[in-house]
Amino acid sequence: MRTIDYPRWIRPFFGLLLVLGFAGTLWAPTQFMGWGLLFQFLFLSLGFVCIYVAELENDLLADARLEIGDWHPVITGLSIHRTHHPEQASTTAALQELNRKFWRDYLQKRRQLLRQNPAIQAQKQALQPLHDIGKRWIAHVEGQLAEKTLSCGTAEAAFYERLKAL
Amino acid sequence: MKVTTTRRFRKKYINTYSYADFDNFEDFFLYLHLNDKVLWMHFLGAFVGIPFLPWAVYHLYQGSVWPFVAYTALFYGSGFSSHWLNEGRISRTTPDYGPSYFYVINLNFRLLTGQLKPYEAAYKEKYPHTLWVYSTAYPIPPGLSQSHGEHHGERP
Repeated sequence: MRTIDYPRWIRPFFGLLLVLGFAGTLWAPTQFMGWGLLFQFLFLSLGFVCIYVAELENDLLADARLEIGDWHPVITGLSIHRTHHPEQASTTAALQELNRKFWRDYLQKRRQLLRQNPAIQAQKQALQPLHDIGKRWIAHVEGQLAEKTLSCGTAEAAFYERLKAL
Repeated sequence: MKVTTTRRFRKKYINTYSYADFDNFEDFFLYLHLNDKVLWMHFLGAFVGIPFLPWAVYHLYQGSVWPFVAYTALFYGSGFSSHWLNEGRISRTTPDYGPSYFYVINLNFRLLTGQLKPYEAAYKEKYPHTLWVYSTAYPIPPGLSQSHGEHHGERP
């Protein structure tokens, strides 16, 4: 987990919001501002939570990539190919959409399998078919990108169908 | 990041990239909010607006809608209008309202705490090929510059 180096003033600032907000609610003329500052405190506190959850999601994604190899180059490769080869733009866009769905479902399936198999040895066995199809998909798209000729037909759809069937 | 392309240019090209061009929604959301001015408008709308929420809700409860309308215009209007004023486009992430809310809080908090620069630096490292939309320092992809008659360094 990456640690976020927040500035020193953050804690006193949050404390001040809380104290001023609470004090404000005790006196009628400043009651609304007091509640407002307490809302500000809660809203900003959500920031801590959101960043923590986002970092956690990124770490889970990094774990998934460590297992089969990074598929980020596939995503950027398709993106670059589409803007460099306008004659293949619609095919590339279709393949990009399929690629997005593929990895979305891959990660969902992975989470599902990890939940179903808490023991580490069982996890390895359960994830093996998923890893195989993930690796084959990366190799398939990278091969197309290397040849600079993309297609998004039944062969590509079959990968996705196999993933769904797992 | 500080943008160097024109609003007209961004209006034309910002939609070149969509969700499928990024690893996840978080990166796509950041791509749409790379412009400093857009980010600051989101931040100010939320930061200035939130303390007025109890006051607006109280008046709404008392039967006066205008304070709540003004609050909503400040809180949401500043974010929505920032896309129109700076990029000439309306927000593209409204269908994903929940994740958008999550990541805009994330960005606002990073801006407040000075954590935005390393976050943007990581983005630039991952997606250097998208930066031409915001910065003239990066070349327009050849496919686009040929099809639209534009060349490196020239931003309409």
